[in-house]
Amino acid sequence: MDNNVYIKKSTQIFDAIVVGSGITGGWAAKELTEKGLKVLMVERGRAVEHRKDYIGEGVPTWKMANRGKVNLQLVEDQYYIQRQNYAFNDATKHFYGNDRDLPYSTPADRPFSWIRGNQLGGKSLLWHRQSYRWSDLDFGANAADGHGVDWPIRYKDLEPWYSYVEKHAGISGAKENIPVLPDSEFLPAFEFNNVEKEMKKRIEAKYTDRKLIMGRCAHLSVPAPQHLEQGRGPCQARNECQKGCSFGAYFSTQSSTLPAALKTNNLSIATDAVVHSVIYDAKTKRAKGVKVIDSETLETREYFAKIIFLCASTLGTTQIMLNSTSETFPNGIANSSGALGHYLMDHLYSVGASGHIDGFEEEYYSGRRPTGPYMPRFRNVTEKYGKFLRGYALSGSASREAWGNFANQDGFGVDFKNSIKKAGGWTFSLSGSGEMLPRYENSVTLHPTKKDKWGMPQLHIDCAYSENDIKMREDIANTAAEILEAIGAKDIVKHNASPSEWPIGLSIHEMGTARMGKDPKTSVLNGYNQAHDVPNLFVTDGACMASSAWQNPSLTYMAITARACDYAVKQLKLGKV
Amino acid sequence: MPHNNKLADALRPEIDAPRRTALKQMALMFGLTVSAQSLDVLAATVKGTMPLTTKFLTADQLQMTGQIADLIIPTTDTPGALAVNVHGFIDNYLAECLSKDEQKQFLIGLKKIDVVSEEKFHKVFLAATHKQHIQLLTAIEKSELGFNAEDKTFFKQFKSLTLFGYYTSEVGATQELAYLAIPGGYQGNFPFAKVGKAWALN
Repeated sequence: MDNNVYIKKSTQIFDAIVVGSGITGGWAAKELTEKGLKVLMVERGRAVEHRKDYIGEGVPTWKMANRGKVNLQLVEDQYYIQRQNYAFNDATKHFYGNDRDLPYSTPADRPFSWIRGNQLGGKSLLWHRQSYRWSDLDFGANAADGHGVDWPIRYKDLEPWYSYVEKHAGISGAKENIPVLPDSEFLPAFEFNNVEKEMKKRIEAKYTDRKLIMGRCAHLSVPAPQHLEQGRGPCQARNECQKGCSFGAYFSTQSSTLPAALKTNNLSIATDAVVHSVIYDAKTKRAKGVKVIDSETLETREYFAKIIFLCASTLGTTQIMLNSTSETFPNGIANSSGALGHYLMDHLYSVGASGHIDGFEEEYYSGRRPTGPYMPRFRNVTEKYGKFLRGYALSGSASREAWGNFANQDGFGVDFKNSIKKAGGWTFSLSGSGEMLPRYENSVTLHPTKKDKWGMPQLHIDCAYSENDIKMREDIANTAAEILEAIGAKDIVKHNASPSEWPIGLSIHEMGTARMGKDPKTSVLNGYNQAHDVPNLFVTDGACMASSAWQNPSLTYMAITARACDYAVKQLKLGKV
Repeated sequence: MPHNNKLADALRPEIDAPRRTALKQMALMFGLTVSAQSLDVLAATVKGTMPLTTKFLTADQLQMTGQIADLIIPTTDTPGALAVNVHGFIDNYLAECLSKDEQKQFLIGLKKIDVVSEEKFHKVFLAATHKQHIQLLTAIEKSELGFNAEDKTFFKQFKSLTLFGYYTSEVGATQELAYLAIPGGYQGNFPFAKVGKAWALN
């Protein structure tokens, strides 16, 4: 990357500042620069260059220290929260935040796991890339049952923007015409294996309300010309994405939005710059810039711009907003409603069932597919289910047991070794992704006294499941087991992690805390992600969400960001912001 | 990986060949004169491909670990656990990745095998015969001969470490199993016969 892109100090008044460089920051930078704005992207972490900085990529296990496990002392010192993430290992650990530097508090009995990806590219380097559209069942959910405030937008508002971001990012999947899960602009779907095909047949024969489809994901199964132009190639089915993908086969800031933004020559980037607060000008009633702390020297600087996009991650953004106090906004910028910091949500994960499938010894697969079969929501769709509100998806896959599964089996010696070589039996699993209700009491606040090493007040996160969430979890485990039973699985094991085993936050779909809404008295942002109180301040990351739905949220963040950028630039040109 | 003995490395693929002869030949090749005693020392080193330094285990514990690992994954048409230094991996893993408590449990587990071996066969595990070794490991899986459920749990963990160490080694991943670093794409309709063995990376 051209080194002139990186800046430290600047007195320039940019057209826009984008705080954060993850999925939404990258999109905001791309959209705003392509529309001709001079943009400064501010990232609290270090620069990460595509390919060059993927230091764990392609290293075989036998060449890795501890075969990929992270030294325990290092984990206990620096990664005691991050270690819980499934993708945390010796080849990815440099893309996770250092927990010792990033402290936060929770009530003792309500753990919350805050997974941090503080570097250029943010968590776009770590996400699991499942990509699903929402439908009006989701956008209308708050209005329908009265939990949370009504979304100020509906599917039709976002539909063209879904298409727009999908074409650029590259989403693989198959057209299914399922009302609760509108089709995207698809690249070819990944294949089912033969056992999954059979399970799909059995499930769909048994349940008329359920379909097993291939999981839609931001991987280039077959790149389109626009992806080749971005310098990206087809997915190689390594499924080691979080180490970094030099093929650019999956969507990340580095592979997709950053090259587009850089091409405009309108982008500057300030890395190692921890945003302390948004500077508010009471005279103009606008935000005029951001105050940052140099992460290395602890010096403070200010950057100025006409509009500001906060894309610093759900809790990162809210932490900045809460810390942006002024006479006008003593409780955080754009917080006249008092909703800022409230209605925190995550998804219900680590719950489901798995079982063995007899037979199919002649069948196998080749390659490590970066996605798997997916069963879209079927609860509370056409008829009321009664046990709880809203719904969940189930994702699963069929695979043969591998060496890692054999430690639990008795035996040793030549026969044992040969049985591993022959591959084990098939297992099929279904695990849930459930919607969590938005509730005022699930909140983040600034700790009154504790600060981090940069002097930022620490977040106090207080988040717990509601009765509805707990009932949904139970239903996920029971239903997954029932489905497995119905399709002939054996030795079915149900799984439902407790909040201490799987703390809220660990699904890494934390969202809400600066919600969108129609009414400035009860929400922070309007239907264009614009702060009700501060017209040139936009929030387009997960903080903006008024409900969580049951789908992986990133694709919706992308679409919402692109739409907000379009609106912001139009307003800027009209002189309205 | 702690293996400093070049001669031991060179001999690794031939672990089934009579070791003293091989060593002698190699020594001759290098123009070395070797005493019977130093041959013994070298042979002992090669037999277990024992690292000269350990991070956590004592020399005896390391050798015992190597023996047990090799009973779990012996040499077949591909080298077994001992030949690929799974014991060295376990020693390193114990030091680097396990807690004090887990380290302690591991040593208690090893010790218990020695205790049962002495009770039943009047010699420590390392001095027992191959047949006795098999009797001991069979008993631990069945919680017999004085082994209990805790010992079985230890053995499960030992096995898990052995499998991890072996199948993430180059030999385990690429010779024993099928290894595709860059598969190039996913094929869901793929008969097992086409590869004929399990993937190292599932």
